[in-house]
Amino acid sequence: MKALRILLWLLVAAAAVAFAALYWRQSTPPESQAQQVGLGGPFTLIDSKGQPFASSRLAGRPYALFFGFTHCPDVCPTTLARLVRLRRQLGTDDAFPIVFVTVDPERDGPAEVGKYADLFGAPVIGLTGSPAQIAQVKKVFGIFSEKVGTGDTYTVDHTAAVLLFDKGGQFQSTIAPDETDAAALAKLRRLTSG
Amino acid sequence: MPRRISLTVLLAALAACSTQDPKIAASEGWARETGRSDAAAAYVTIENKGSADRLIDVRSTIGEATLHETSMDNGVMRMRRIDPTQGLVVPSNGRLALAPGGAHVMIMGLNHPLKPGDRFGLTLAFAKSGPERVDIIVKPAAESAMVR
Repeated sequence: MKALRILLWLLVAAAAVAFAALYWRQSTPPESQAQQVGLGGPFTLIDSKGQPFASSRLAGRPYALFFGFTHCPDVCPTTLARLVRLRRQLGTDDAFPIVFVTVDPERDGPAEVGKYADLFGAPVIGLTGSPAQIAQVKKVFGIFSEKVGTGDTYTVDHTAAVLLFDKGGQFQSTIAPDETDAAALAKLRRLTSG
Repeated sequence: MPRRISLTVLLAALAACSTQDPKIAASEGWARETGRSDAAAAYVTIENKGSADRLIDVRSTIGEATLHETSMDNGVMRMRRIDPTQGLVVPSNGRLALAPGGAHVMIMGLNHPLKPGDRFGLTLAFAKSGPERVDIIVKPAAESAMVR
């Protein structure tokens, strides 16, 4: 009788472990899922001069990629200003390129992304494209965006993380807006030392 | 005996505190330069040395000002207008900080772009204590990310 009770308890414990494992698998953060599927790929967009910008221009160097829009008054400029500051803390303004891609090609033409990228007092590559080109890069990089509101004053909800790619073009990690500077710096150090 | 008196005085003072009005002071107002965009975000710190109040409206002569809040939803940045009937709570004897990545003042349809060093006035409207004017100074975008 006692042996049966122990056996039943062992079964309960095994079931608990199985459930925990299942839960852990389901709650794996998106970052590691992205790593598994090999985020990113070749793209061609339009630079601030209206000229084509092929992703091959970034080959051989690590880079940081951020999607946003120039009418975004809060999170986008905060993210870019922080990236510029952290890059400077690492060493120089050319430690790695920072690439800004608009998710709002209707309002953001080459001049708009160029002027926006110039706001941060250090080199930032501002890119736009046709709605089809932007849709393609969003898909390649797993970026979500959604227009909210109507008229001229609409806003765009979008993926807020900065994506980091190593010099081989492989996705390495992300920097989320709520991460500390110390954590973000550690990732950037790893990115540029490899 | 003196000790009992001081305790009575203290209790009376506490009772007075709980019924007193909000005492609001707004400071450290700043906005980010805008480049070509006609939308700006402004930030301000509100100190309250009295009972709780609510910030329900914002006004500026340079554009259409509203209270907005940025929030993160599963990695997606979402920005929404704060319900004006609710507003933002300024806790009693506490502070409400409007700061990047959270609640902020959104100014749309700017008359002209904001450049570093520009100044403008912002009127904050509180449910109990009424309007409070604060000066906003425009900072360069490059210096607009707080160290965290």
